Amino acid sequence: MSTLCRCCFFALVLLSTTACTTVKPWQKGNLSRPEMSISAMPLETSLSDHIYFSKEGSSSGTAVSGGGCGCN
Amino acid sequence: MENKQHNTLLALTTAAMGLVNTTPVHATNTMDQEYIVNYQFSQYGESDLDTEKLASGSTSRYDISVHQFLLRAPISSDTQLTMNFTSESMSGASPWYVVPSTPTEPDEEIKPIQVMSGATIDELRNDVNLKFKTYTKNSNWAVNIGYSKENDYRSTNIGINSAYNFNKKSSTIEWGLGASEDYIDPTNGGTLFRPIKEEKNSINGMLGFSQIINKNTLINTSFTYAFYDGYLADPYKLALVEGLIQADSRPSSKSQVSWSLASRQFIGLFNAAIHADYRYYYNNWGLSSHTLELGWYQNFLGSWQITPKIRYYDQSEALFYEHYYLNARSDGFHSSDYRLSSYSAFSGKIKLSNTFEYKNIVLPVYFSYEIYQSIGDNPGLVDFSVFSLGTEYRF
Repeated sequence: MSTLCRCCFFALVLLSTTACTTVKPWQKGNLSRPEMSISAMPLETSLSDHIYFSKEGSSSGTAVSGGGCGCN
Repeated sequence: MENKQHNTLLALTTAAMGLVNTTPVHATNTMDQEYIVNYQFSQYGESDLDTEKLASGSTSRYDISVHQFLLRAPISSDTQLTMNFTSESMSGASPWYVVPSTPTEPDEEIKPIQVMSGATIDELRNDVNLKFKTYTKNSNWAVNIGYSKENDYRSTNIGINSAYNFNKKSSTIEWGLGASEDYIDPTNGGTLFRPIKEEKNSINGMLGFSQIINKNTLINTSFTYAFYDGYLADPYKLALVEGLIQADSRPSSKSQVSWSLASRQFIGLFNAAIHADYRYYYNNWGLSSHTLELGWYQNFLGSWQITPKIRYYDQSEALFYEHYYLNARSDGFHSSDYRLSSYSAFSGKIKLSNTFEYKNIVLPVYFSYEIYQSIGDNPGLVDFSVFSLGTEYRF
């Protein structure tokens, strides 16, 4: 794994192990913002996934809608 | 992009790394009661092949125009129907096989160069997907079915997925299962080493977990597994083996796993959010990859948002891959497909969005532009750009 990937990977792991705090319902305003979604734009995400699935050697294991792509 | 705020656990979704149609769970797990219509147009274009890497054929590569539609409608107070329709038209030449260059100088290095397909491919692909989703107090269930058709390929897929909230709706666990059946009927089958009719099947599963860390932070992680069986080669690609042209040949089965980790952090000081996504992928053809994406979502002037993103991708080569084969492999597998080679890729993307309001009509609009650059030894590696324009209407 490249050095950049290794650093970012461990940063994400570190963040994920940060102790959770109890968040009251009235404190969840920022979490409900569209830009905080894991995948807020379904059409944009599905197109990106489809392009990367077609042009790279990896796939997410997703049964990408329809299969059969311009993969040549 | 929108001024409306969704329920909190709308943010808790698995990454799109899982099954298609895995969608967020609302804080109160209540369904969006609005009708939603989305449309996106995209233009994808691949850079011409460098003439230095071309053995024969056209340097021009693929251009693809894509129209995507989404319609989401509430059927009842706790059930919604979502329909996705995609139509894409493709034209251009594609990599065919790789050969060694012929030195013109005594000490000139022999390099792999690309033979491109002579004929320009013109194809139309249409894809439709239906999903029924129902909500209960702390969970939701969805069933989806999809069908895709193009000139030489058709695919049917089904899936089921579910999400469950717990821990005072600060935690979500999600899972899904899916299957696909594909039929391949290559153009000019029976000639040019192409098979006449082939079939491939796949099954896949996903398990994901999302957690609110604090009022500004959430994370998501997911595992996926998929198994493919049947014709997994590319009927339109060839390989040079001991000086002779052979059909692309790959194992008839493939297993793969992936693990992804995503974080979302809101930074109130800047009125912005930062996204970080990592994925590790491995299959039993020996190919593994790392993907890292970073995005900065900057809000400004009320309803405007600008989002720069960068992505880094790095993959190893498949065990049976070579540019061309001086000696045939004992297992009979051979492929010069660049997608099985070792390479890295960088991409940068910029997105601008705003919500326009006129009288009682609220219309979010966005456009984005992405550039993708590959780095590696295979002469067929692709560079491309994508322009997208989209909008959404709720009523």
